[in-house]
Amino acid sequence: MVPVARKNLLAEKTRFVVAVGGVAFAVFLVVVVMAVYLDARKSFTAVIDDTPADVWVTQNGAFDMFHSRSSLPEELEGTVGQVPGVTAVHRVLARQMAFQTPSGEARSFFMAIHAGDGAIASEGLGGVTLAPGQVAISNLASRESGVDVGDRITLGGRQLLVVATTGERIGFRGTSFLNYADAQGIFDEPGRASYLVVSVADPTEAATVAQAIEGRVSGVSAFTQQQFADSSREEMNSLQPIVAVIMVIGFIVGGAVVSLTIYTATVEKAREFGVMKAIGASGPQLYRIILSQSLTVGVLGFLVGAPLSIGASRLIERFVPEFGALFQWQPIAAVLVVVLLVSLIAAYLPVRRIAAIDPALVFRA
Amino acid sequence: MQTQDDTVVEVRGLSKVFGSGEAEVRAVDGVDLAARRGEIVLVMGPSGSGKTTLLTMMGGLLRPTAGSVHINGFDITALDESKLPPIRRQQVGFVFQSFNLLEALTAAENVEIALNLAGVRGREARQKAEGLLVELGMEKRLRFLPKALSGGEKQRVSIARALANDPKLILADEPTANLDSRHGHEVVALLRDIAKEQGRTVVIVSHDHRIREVADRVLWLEDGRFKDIGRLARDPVCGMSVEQEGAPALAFEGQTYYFCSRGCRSEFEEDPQRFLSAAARPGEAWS
Repeated sequence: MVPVARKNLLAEKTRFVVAVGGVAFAVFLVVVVMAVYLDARKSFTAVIDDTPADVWVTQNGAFDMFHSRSSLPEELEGTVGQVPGVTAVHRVLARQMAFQTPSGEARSFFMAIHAGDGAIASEGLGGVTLAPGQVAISNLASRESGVDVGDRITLGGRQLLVVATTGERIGFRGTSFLNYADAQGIFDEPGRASYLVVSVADPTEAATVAQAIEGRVSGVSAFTQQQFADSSREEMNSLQPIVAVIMVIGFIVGGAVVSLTIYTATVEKAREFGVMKAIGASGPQLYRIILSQSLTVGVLGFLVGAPLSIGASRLIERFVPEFGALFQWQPIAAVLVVVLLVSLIAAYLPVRRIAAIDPALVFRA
Repeated sequence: MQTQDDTVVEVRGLSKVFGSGEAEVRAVDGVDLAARRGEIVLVMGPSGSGKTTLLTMMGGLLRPTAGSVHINGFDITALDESKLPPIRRQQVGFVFQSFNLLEALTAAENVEIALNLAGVRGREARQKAEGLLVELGMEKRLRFLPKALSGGEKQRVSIARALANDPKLILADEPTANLDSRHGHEVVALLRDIAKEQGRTVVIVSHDHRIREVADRVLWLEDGRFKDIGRLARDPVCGMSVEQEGAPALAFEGQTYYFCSRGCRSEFEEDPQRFLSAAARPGEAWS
């Protein structure tokens, strides 16, 4: 089959490049916004997701890690440990705090996990166990403050030696880790814990165990890890409409670019489409040419825009530490599907234009 | 309804009315016409006489107000709009005044696309398209875009496209109008071969008197109706067809010549031999 669609598109190369560029820009916008949002969602609760616990126990009424305060008596560790199904319980202290560096002040989310063997505490630190006076500073805080391994920071009046940097960015500011005894002193909460993290014998029964904990221990709320993460992410849900609006605008811009380009090309080629009608092209045969043109522009725009968004995000991350973008194949595939749908919809006007072409016009000189 | 076996196209009582009331225009008015296999029919007439309207209705591109068009026995005026594209693909080949090639496609692709539309694909379509162009002397222009072709070459591509699906009926609208004398002559010869050697019926709408030489019949369409062609003559000075009745005339060496105007007659009077040597045939009745 003679590739009429491709030949028509390439016949006017500048317009073709502009059209693909327009769609690529729209795809770029949509993918980046989506990736930033996904990264923010993931980062927001990464400290929960990455902590090896099946159940989180909080003060009754506390619903997340960042916007509600939780303070529990240390003794509950033993009480919770006696609930059937529970295999291990660890105390956690966590708080957002400012710290001083030689060059100024910076902030980070600090967390300490009490564990006799230090295994859980070192989980997010690549096996590093923190001794008193040591701190693992978050990557983000390190980049923002210029503090690195070997430097000293002042937190709550105590001098701490930076022995590691974390690989994960936690929350919007990142999470730094402390020795548990240091945290008790710095946070000034002797005999208290912010949370209890619980391991259960059968992780599939975590919800049942959480209910049992709430039933047997008064004054606490118990969440499965997923529930606690979801609850903490609810704050992010308020951003969804904004993200959705930006994405819709992106798709509208992309669709408009495709539609206008193909429509203009169709109008310019109206006589030729009339010729094709005259020599026997059926409506569906002509519509396929238009759809093919539209899909070609859409797919090429996607193939340019999606990798560009990944590359540009990686580049931005180098220079803007606060910027994060999470690219997953499923949402990007969804963008491709939407691009295809928008391209099909964008072909509507050109198809209508073609349907209205009178083949007899080709007899006019 | 079936027509006689050798009748390829038959037009009965064909009319086309545009507008209504005081603005009504009868572009074609009760025309009858039949053309046999291998016949060349030339339809002439002044501008606005309805020639092209007649041709578009014969090709299934325009719905008549009344009457019927039968192609190979099928009444195409009775068909739904959706049934007409196959008729135009398979039964009719169009040759246009302005060639109407697809500018983004090469000469070969312009022919191949007609085959593709009829369901012939791939190598088969490519080979047939190229074969047709080679037959028409275009072997060195197969990969050329239309903008790189001369008018005569474009028209040959247009003719190859018209022949691609082996139609029995070729409808040509002013096929030589945009060509110089040499290329016009070549196209006329091609159309003759298409009819006489390939047995196709060729209906041509044209002002070009050169086509008269190859036409089996010449019809004069005026005000949407065929007129008595026995009363037509060719002005030996300007070449225009004129109605004998009422036209300025002049007797010379035993024959009567008819002119479109007194000016042409005066010019003829000054030097008759100059115009007679141009193969003018005075007062010839075309039939």
